Amino acid sequence: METVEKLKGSKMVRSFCHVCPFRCPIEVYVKDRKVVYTRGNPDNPNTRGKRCVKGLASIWLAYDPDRLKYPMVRVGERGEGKFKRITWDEAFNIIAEKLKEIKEKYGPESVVSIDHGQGCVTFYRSFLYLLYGSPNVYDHTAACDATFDTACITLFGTFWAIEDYENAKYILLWGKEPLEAPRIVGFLQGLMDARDRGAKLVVVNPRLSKTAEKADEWIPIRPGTDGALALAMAKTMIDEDLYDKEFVANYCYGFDEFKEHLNEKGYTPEWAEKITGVPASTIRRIAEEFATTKPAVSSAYHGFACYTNGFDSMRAVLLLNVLTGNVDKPGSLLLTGSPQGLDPPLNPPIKVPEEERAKIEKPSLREALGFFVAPDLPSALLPKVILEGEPYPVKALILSQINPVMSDANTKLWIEALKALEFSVAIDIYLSETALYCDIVLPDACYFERYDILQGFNHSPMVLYAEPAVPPPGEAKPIYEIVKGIAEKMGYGKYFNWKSEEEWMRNIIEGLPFTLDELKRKGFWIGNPKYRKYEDGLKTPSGKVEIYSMLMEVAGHNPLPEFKEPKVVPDEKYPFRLISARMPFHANLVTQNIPMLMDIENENWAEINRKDAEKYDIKNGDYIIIESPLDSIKVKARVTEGIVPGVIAVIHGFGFGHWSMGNTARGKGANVNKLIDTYVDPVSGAVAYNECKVRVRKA
Amino acid sequence: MSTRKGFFVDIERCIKCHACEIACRVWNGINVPSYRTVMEIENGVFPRVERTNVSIACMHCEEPYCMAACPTKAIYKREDGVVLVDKDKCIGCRLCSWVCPFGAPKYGPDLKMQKCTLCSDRPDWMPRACEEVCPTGAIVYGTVDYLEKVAKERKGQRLISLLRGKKAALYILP
Repeated sequence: METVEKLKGSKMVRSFCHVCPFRCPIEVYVKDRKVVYTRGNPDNPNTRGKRCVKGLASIWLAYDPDRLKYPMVRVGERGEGKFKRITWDEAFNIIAEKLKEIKEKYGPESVVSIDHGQGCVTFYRSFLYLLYGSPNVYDHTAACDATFDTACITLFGTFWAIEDYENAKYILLWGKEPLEAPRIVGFLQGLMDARDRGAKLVVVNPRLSKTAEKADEWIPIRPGTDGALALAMAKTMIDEDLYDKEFVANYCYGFDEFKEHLNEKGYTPEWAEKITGVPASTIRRIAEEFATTKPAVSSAYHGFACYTNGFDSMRAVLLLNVLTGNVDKPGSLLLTGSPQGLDPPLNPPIKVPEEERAKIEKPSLREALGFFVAPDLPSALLPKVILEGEPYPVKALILSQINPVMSDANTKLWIEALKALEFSVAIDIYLSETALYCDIVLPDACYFERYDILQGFNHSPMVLYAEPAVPPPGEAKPIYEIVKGIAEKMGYGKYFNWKSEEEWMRNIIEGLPFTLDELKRKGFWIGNPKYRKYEDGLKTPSGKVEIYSMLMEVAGHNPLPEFKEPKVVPDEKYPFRLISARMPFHANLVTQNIPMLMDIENENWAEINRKDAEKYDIKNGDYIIIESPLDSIKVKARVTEGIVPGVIAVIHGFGFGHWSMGNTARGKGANVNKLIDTYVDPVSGAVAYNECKVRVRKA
Repeated sequence: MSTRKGFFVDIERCIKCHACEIACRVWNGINVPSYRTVMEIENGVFPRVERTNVSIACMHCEEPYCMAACPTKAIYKREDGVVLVDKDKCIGCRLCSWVCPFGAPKYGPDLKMQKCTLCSDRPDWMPRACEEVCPTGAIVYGTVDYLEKVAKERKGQRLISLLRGKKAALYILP
């Protein structure tokens, strides 16, 4: 890079992006303490030298004048936004005192933490879990991958699975949008290359999404009914004798029960046609094509699972891979080992001997609420827990780069709950809407400003490394220093007395087959991929792929997938179903203060079918009012042919409409989450964002 | 062999994610407008709907209209075919942006015109900013001969500028 005039005299620093939790490894070029250029790590298969638009524009985070710079304590009412600057020492003292007091009064489990899976969170997860003794340490999973994880856990005993687009000949996607929500950029090219080689791409989605645009076939479906379509496809494959008998016989558990169950319920294509709006002939044809083209992959993600029936739909969609033997082979659905493919997983950064660890006495809130199979807390239920004190009192929240006031359903209820807390801490890079209601606000470092080690998302085990490129703004600190400060005040200093960051980084990778120096040199480590892991036995109770899930049976759920209608059904008064969807150039609610991205579109919009729009005299670009039984929003309409009639899709539904954050973000567009009542999937605990009926009128 | 260079944009691959626009701004200065524009066109009636996305930048035409229209001769064509703006001569009258069929020249915050320089400040071994980032590999940069080859492989066609049949250095899939 020395031959590039602009980059002369710059230093290259290894890092990984954390604008979204998919962590693409990158190279950051720094000159005069400024980030001047970034690119994807060219040697890494997840990036192939590229970055997505969100990651690329996030260079702004290192410059943004609206970033939090000092620790602050709330002086006004909660939500009023009045804070006073304090020193770190004062902040650590207040937090330590409060945590001690709450532990004595209500027990350690009354302190709950939620984060965004960003780097270094293992520090306070370890601190709270190992030393303080709270079992309530959570990620943002319920708003994201909870349903997908849970389906993988029950079916395959793995936490995650990855689609091998590159080698597939038939790709069937259900509300999984690699092109509309670009995450791991390398996979996009894989998908495009597969298309060039003649792979067929079929997209099931109520909207003509960016992925559907590129599909050979777009199957517009009545929202929330994907499970019916997948089950009818499964029945077709079995009835027409197209399933992989060898795979099912040797590596699966409960096929006969499933076959009988499908017959008993009468899940025929004709039955599914009435529910989904997809012709029975199409269902048969897609089932036949999928079963006879190998290798093939069928996958789904969060979008289509945002219903109370989401988990069973997800299971049914993934089961199509199982029936056709498209599991853990090149070009199919690849299973990853313990969290994200690393076995053994990374260690906590601090070492606490077994006998010095805090005893966890109460069950975690997740278990106490009855979500035994779910990977994480059903966050949408937390406000009710806080307000009612059931199953046990929750008195304090620690929130790290997470903004549930905007990102979870039912905004009003969340605000009420935050007001009812005894103590709350927000660690963030902006003064988020949630931080407005917190007692202490701490300025975090962004991903350009800290050391970190995390696992990458790949079929092969992968570990990523990051070091700071620039110093954090003002007095902002990376999480590890924040947790260290709090821990010292609480008498746990001895676990945090590292001399350099290398010490805790070595702890993290202990036992893994590479050294810290090797990791630093390349910026990542990648192991060899392993296929056909089912041959050695999986981590399900039966050791096989569980079509009939014993885990579900034990947890008191139906061990076989069935179809139920979503709970909320549009009616005469509220004739439309509201769904939320993505735009490729924003990462949920974290990128709205980046001027470059806001220059592309500075407010979000609602898509409505032309026929519906004509009924209400709505023209493209008009402002409309969308009303649910809970609240209303005003948003710009985009009239299109590319959406199922009777559906309104608010694009980037919960990223716009900020009333805090920063100057660029504030007051642009509308947040749909205040329209949505509290519904969660009963198995995975995922927030059911699409369980919402609305009516519209011209503004 | 022509030394003229340009872009091939594969509309079968473009997903309108705007990464090229942003990459352009990050490289050329975040306060300048992007030299690339991404657009989409919708056709058809539900459920048979199609959308086409395309990313457009300066075509570095063989005989550029902008150059012909520029009253102060600020716009010039370098020997290698790259069309550039001499900021010392530009008076910011915007005539070039009116005559350009692709809307390529942009009015900048310095009150002068700016446009794609084909990343002239990048060495040849380095991809252009937009090409480098394009997550689907829709943008390809190279000599016109190379692009002809890529276009043939991907069943692409040369875009002929409409008015006088002057060849533009962009190829696009039919």
